[in-house]
Parts: sequence; C-alpha cells; structure tokens
Amino acid sequence: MGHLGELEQLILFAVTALGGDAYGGAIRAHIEERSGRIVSSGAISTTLGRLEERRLVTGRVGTPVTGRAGRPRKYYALTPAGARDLQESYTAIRAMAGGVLQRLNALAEQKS
Amino acid sequence: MTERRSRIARILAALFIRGAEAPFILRDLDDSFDQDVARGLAPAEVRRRDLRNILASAISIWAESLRPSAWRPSLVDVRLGLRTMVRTPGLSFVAVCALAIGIPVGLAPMHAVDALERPLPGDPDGRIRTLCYWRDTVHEHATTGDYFLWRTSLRSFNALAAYRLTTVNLDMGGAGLPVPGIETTASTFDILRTPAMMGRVLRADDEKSGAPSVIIIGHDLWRAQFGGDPNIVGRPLVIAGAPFSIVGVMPPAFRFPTSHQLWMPLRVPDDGGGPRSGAPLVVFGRLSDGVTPESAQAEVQTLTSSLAARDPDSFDRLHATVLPAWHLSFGFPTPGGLRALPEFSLVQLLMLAPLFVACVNVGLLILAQTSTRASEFAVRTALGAGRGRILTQVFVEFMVLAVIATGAGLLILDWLPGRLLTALGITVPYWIDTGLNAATVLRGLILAVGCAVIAGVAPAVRMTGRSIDANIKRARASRSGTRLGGLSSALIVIDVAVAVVAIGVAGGLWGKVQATKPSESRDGIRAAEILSVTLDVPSSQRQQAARTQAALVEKLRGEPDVRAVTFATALPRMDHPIRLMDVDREPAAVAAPAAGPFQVRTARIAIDFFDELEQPLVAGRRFDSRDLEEDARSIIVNTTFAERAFGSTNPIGRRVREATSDRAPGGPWLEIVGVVGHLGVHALTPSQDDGVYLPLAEGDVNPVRLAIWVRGDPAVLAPRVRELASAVDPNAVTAMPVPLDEMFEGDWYLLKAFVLGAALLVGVLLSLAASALYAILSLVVSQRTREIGIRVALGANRWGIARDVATRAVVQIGVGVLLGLPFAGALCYEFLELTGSGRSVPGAVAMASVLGVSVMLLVSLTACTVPTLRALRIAPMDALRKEG
Repeated sequence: MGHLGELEQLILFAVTALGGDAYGGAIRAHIEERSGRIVSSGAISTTLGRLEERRLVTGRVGTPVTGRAGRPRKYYALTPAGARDLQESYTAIRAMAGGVLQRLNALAEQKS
Repeated sequence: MTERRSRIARILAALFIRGAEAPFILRDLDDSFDQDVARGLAPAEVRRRDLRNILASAISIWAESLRPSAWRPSLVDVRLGLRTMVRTPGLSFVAVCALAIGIPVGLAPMHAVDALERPLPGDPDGRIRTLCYWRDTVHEHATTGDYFLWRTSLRSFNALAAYRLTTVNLDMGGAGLPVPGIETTASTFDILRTPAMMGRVLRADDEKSGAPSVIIIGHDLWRAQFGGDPNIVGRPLVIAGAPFSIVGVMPPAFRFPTSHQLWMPLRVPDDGGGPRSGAPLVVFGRLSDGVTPESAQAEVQTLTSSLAARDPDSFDRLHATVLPAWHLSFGFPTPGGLRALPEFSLVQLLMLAPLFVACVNVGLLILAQTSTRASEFAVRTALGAGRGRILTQVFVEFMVLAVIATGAGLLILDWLPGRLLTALGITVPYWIDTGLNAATVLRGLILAVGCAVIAGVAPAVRMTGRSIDANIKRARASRSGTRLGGLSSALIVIDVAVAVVAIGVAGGLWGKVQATKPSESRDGIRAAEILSVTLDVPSSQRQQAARTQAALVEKLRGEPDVRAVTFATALPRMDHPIRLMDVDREPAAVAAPAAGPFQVRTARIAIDFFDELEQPLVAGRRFDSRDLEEDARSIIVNTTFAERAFGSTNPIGRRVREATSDRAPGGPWLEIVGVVGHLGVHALTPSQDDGVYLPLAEGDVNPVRLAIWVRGDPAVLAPRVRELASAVDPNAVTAMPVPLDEMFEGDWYLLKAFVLGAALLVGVLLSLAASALYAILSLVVSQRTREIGIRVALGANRWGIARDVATRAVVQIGVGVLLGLPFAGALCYEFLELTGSGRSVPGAVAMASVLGVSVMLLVSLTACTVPTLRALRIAPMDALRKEG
C-alpha cells in the first residue's frame, strides 16, 4: 500500500463521490463544501498529476467547449489500486481513532 | 453569467499558470470563478477568492516543479542521449572535440597547482615543513646559525635537517662529469623515512670534521655511470681530485630535493656562528606528534621576536615561517603558494573562458538542433511529460556527451603535461606527479555538469518555457522548428565578436613568434657556432676565481678549433637582469624623447667581449683596461636604449645611473663610452630591449658564462672544455655546455608550443563558431521558406529576397565585428605589453582581424546563401504545400 497524504485522501474521496463528473473545479467545490477546506486549483491539479503517475487515478481530456478560450476540462476516475489505497488509509485512520474520540473531544473543549 | 474576472487576475493567470497542465488548471480556475458567482457571493468576494486561487495555484505549480522525482534521470535518458549522439554524429563530434579541448585547458591551472603543491612522498599528511625567513615579501634562506639555533630551541619538530645545493665534478675516467647533488645532514634521511636501496644512508658521525669522506649516489647515476655494479658499496670515487667512498645507493624514486643524484655529509662549524650568520642553508623538519603547523609557526615566531628584540638590525622586517614542504623547491612569491596569488584567479578565469565560449557555441548548435525537436517536446508534453521531465532528459542527453568529452579531456590532461615537459627538456622535482588526481577528476565532472547546463539545458529551457498549446501551435506553424528571433541575432553577434577576438589574438601571437624568432641576420651573432659554458669555481677567494677564469680562457684560446673566447654574466639572447636607470638631464638644452627611469637589461662583460664576438660598435669606443680601474665608471649601451633615452642626439659622454622608481639615485653616475647594436638581452625579445653593458674583470663574478666561438660543431668541444677546466683547477665545475642557439630554443619552443596550443584552441573555437553560425542562419532562413514562397508567388524579385536575407546576416556580422575588433586589439596590445614590446603587432592584429572578418563573412554568407537559393528554387505552391 502506498502512503496517502491528507490532501490526496480528500481528493480521492471527492473523485469517488463525483463519479464521472470529477474535474478540477468540481473536486475543489466538493472538498470545500464537505470539509470547509479551501484548496487551490493548482494544488488539486498537481496532486492529481502525482496520483496519476502512481496509477491511482486515470485522467481523460474532455471535449473543448465554446467560450473559456476553448479550454477543455480534465476528468479523473479512481482506479482499483486507488480504491484499495484509499480504503486502507481510511481503515487505518478509523483504527487509530477508535476509542480515543471521546478523549479527543474532551481535550479539545478544554480552555487552553 | 454577467460577472467578469478582474484584469489583474487574468494577467496573473496568464503569467504564472504555466506548464503542461496549464490549460486544465486555467479551465479549473474559470470553473471555480463561475461556481462562486453561481453561489451568489458578493462580486468583491468572488474576485478576492479568484485572486487567491490563482496565486496559490502558481505556488503549487512552482513547488511541484521542484519536486525531486520530477527531475530524476533514468537509464532510458542515457540511452536516449546515446541515440541522439548517433543520430547527429556531426554535431556530437564537434561538441565533444570542443569540450574535450576546453575542459583540460580550464582544468590546467588548478591541476598544475595541485601537482606542484603536494606533500613529499611518504608524507601524506604534510608533516614535513620547511623553515625560512621572509623580509616583507622576499623569501630569505636560513643560515647555518639559524639551523643550529632552531635545532636546539624548537620543540615543535622532532627532527630538523639542513642542506645546500652543489654541483660536483665526478672524475670518470679522467674527464670531469658535473653531477647535481646536495651537502646535507644525516637527519634528512630520517625525516624523509627513505632507506638506502643498497648500503646505508648518511649517519651523524659522517658530519664530523675529520670523518672519512663518504657519499651516497642515486639510482640513475649508479645505472648510468657504474653499470648497475652490485658491488658498488665501498667503491672509491674521485671528486674534484679528492677520494670519496660510496656507502649507499638510493632507490630510483628518490631524487631529493629535486632531481639530485649525490648526497654528501654537510660539515659546518658546531654552533654555526649564531642566528643569521654563516652560509645559507635550506632547513626543513618533521613536526612532532600532536603539533599542528599553526602551533609550530607560533613557536618559531615567538623565538624570532625574542631574537629581534636583541638584534633589531639583523631581524628588521624579518619574519620566520613554517611552510609546506613544496616550498623547498620553488621560490614561490608568497608563503601561500601559487593559489594565494591574486593573478592566479585571473589566470584561472582566462583559462576557463575558452570552455565557456565553447559551451556557448555548442549551445548554439544544440539550440538549432533542439528547435527542430520542438514538435517532439510538444507531443511529449501533450502525453503528460512535465517540463522538469523534459529538461531532465535533455540534461542527461547532454551529460552523456559532456562526460565523454570530459573523459577525453582528462586523458589529454593526464598524457600531455609529462610529454610536453620531456619534449622541452624541463626537469621537475621528483615528487611532482602530473598525472590525474581525484580532485582534478572531480573538477572535470563539475565542469561537465556546468557544460551540460550551459550548452544543453539552457536551450531546452527556452524551448519548453511555453504552455502545451503554445508549443503545439508553434510546432504546427513551422514544421522545421520554432523561430529563434532576437536570441539568435544576439548569439550570432556574440559569436562573430568572439571569433574576431580569437583570430586577432592568434594573429598577435603569431606576429610575436615571428618577431622574436632569433636569427643571425637580426643580431649578427653566429649563435650556432658559439658554445656557452658556465664556469663555477667553488672558492670564496676572488683571486682563486680570477686565476681559474683567466687560465681557462687562455687554455681555450690555445685550442686549434677555437676561434675566440670571452666571458660575461649573461651572453647574447639570454635573459639579462633588469635594472632601473635614470639619465642625467644635463645639459638641459637637450630634451630626452622619453622620461626615465628606464627599465634596462644589463650584463657585465669582459673588456674584449665585442672584439672576440666580432661585434662592431656603432659609436664611441670599446672597453679597455682603463675601464677596470677602481674609479672607472664606463658603460656601453645598445642602440635601442640610446634612441629611447637620447633620441637623435649623441649619447657618447652622457651619464646614466641606477635609480629607484621615484628617481632617487641608486648608484654613481656612469659615463657612456660606446654604443653597440642589438645583441639580444632577453630570450623572447632578442632585439627589442634596452641594454647596458658594464665592464667585468676576471674574478669579479663567480660563476661566469664563457662564450667559446668554435670552428665546426660547438657541442663536440664540450668534453674538452671540461678536461681543460679540471686541468686548470680540479674543483672548477663546468656546467650547461650548450650551443648558444640551442640555449634559447627552450624558451622559444615554449612560446611556440604556447602559440600552437592557442592556435589549436582558436581553430576549434572558430570552426565551432562558424558551424553554429551556419546552423542558426540556415535554420532561420529555412524557417522563412513559406514567407519566401508567398513573396515569390506575389511577384517579388527573387534577387531582392536574397539580398533581404543576406542583409540581415551582414548587419549581424557587422555589429559583431564592431564589437569584437576593439577587444581583439586591446587584448593583443595587453598581451604584447606583458611579454615585452613588439613593433610588428599592430600589423599582425590588423591582418588577423581582416582574416577573422573575412572568414566569418564567408561562412555567414555561405550559411545564408545555400538555404536562400534552396528556398528560391522552390515553386511557390510547393513551398505553401510544404509548410501548410
């Protein structure tokens, strides 16, 4: 299993959630909507490029549309390897979080 | 959607969102902007978020480009590099040749310093150090008194040794054979930790007065003169009439301190007479365990300070230094050695300049070649290769070429210096190794990386700097490559300028060689018939030296093959020492054409010197016995000095004297009694320096140079001179018997070798510049094929088009020439000023510049003409079809 960073996990979850409509702008909006994290389009693009190199996602250039200087979108899809890695990362997080969430919440609520 | 992005955002996005993924990121930025608008955010908030997204994206892209994996080279890149080399053999050959010459030239200064400044064999940690004095910046030897004081006082050294150089006449079958050796203390062998190959080394007992006379010989001498006799130990040897016993033979690699073959015990009085007294000696020692050179230096300096407090006169401005052992053999001008000299950095920089120029030119060729690969880069980018990946590939491709060139260059550097020194008859200290060392190889590899960056990556950076769509559009627009535009013009201008400078300098050097080549017609000296011999009488008695000198001259004159004999401190064409001399300005009515003081080269000559060498005087009289009297102050000057100091006025009777640079008197007034022609007072400028001759009597100077004018081959007489010298005085040493014309050849060949090397380098640079120029101009012209086709189709005059194309090249070349010429002239002038005056120089520079300009014009016009004619021959429809 390859190690996945936090941003990579967020992006892979977004790609999974968006299905066939996973392009940079949609992924960015999805992450912001669900997690409140604002990630730049450049960071999403470069991270997806790295995941593509690792064959965790595949990229497909969409059809150019009129307007927007005819620039095409690039759509991404999760590969089985990407799904496995994401699954394992999530399982690891869950295993680590098990039994400590209560204590975590209590600590977080304390005044520093 | 009514909301529009701010102009700043659009500009920033266009500026900073670059690279292969740029179109998609730009589209994502658009989408994000649209989504914010659709969410009903306030216009100001939308614009703020958009701006932040653009800037954060730019930072992410930049950070990604620095990610190591984006640059990681692979074996595939190496294979691609080799394939590119095979595919473009001409370019690869030219590039490898240029770099293989440029790299050793660039490495040479540091390599030479490494070779010179290294510890002695058997002393890898540099624990052997020499002790000496410096008065301001002038090196002064220690004395016997210093040696004894240091030996008893200093605790930083576990052993000290001292030696002095000597040359002795070995009596080999009746003839004296001069052999260089040293008189040394026995501790030398302990410090150097070198045992004898046969017999023993010197012992402390050998140094005692009255001890048997023993001698150690070197391996080479043992083989050459004793036939490698295995029973050599104990064999008697006669030196200058005195019997010695050979007690040991040293191993072949031992020639301490430089290339010596004899070691005799040094016998000096027990206390040496106190500090700064006694004979000069070279002192060295091995640092005690745990003692650093710095702490040894501190101890020596403390001792010197206490001595100076007691005897301020002797120690005025004197400081003692503990220096690395390589100072034993070289009179380095500073304690720090060569690399501490400010001039060294300049030399290093100058020697790296050809490599830089070679790189720029190879870069031009690569740029021309790379631009034909624009389509390849565009396609690879479209397939997902990042800019870093492409640059890495180009870097590795060029590294393959640069490493091959570096390997060849290092082989040259390993092979050439030793051969060159042997060919020039230059003997270097035995511990010097001119072969490659790890530091030089490492520097070579660093240079290779530098070359790969300058010549390989820089053009590729230019080619990959655009976004994918721009690359694709450009690649589509011109199948033959991208336009080089202003960059090519600038590079062509620089190239032409460099070529003109290079040819100008080469021409100046060639002129220098022609001007300095010695010949009988130039100075009237029949050098090929004159044998030069150094006569050294090892005696401190002036009368003894005078007797020996006079007797030998007399005996030589009695020889049937000898036409004439005379002596001097320096013979014609040799380097005469320089002194500053000022001219008496009285009578004031006569104005000198140049103001003093003058740098003049001087020699002391026997009073019959000009008679014996049949050199007529131009004016005045020769020296005679009156000029040897105590109060005589006569000199003879050469015509160069007479003209410079006195112009057209009569110099006879005028006075000159030694002076300091601020014209303070440095000696008594001397009266000019005669003027002689140019006999040559400097090896490299035999007829161009100011010369002053002073009279010399027998015994005044020891050693002296004998000039023996021989009927027939002078070299044949050399053994006879040695015999006669031994007969006159068994202690007399005759050294360096060389015909006068050959004596000069060493220096001249060195200059010639330097010129040949420079010419070779210039030739390579020139052909490189020419190839690059041709390649770029051809590319530029061939890229205009479509334009030319359209213009022809529209009825333009074909020759007008050709003129249009050529004009651009001629303008570029013209600018290059205008830029290059002043540099060429200035460099030539500086170089010739540095090496002595040279009157044929302006002509040589002008000729070389004309040659340089002509060559570059020819190449440039050919480069333009061939593709232009090719384009003109194409029918308009074919041109349009080809490029469409």
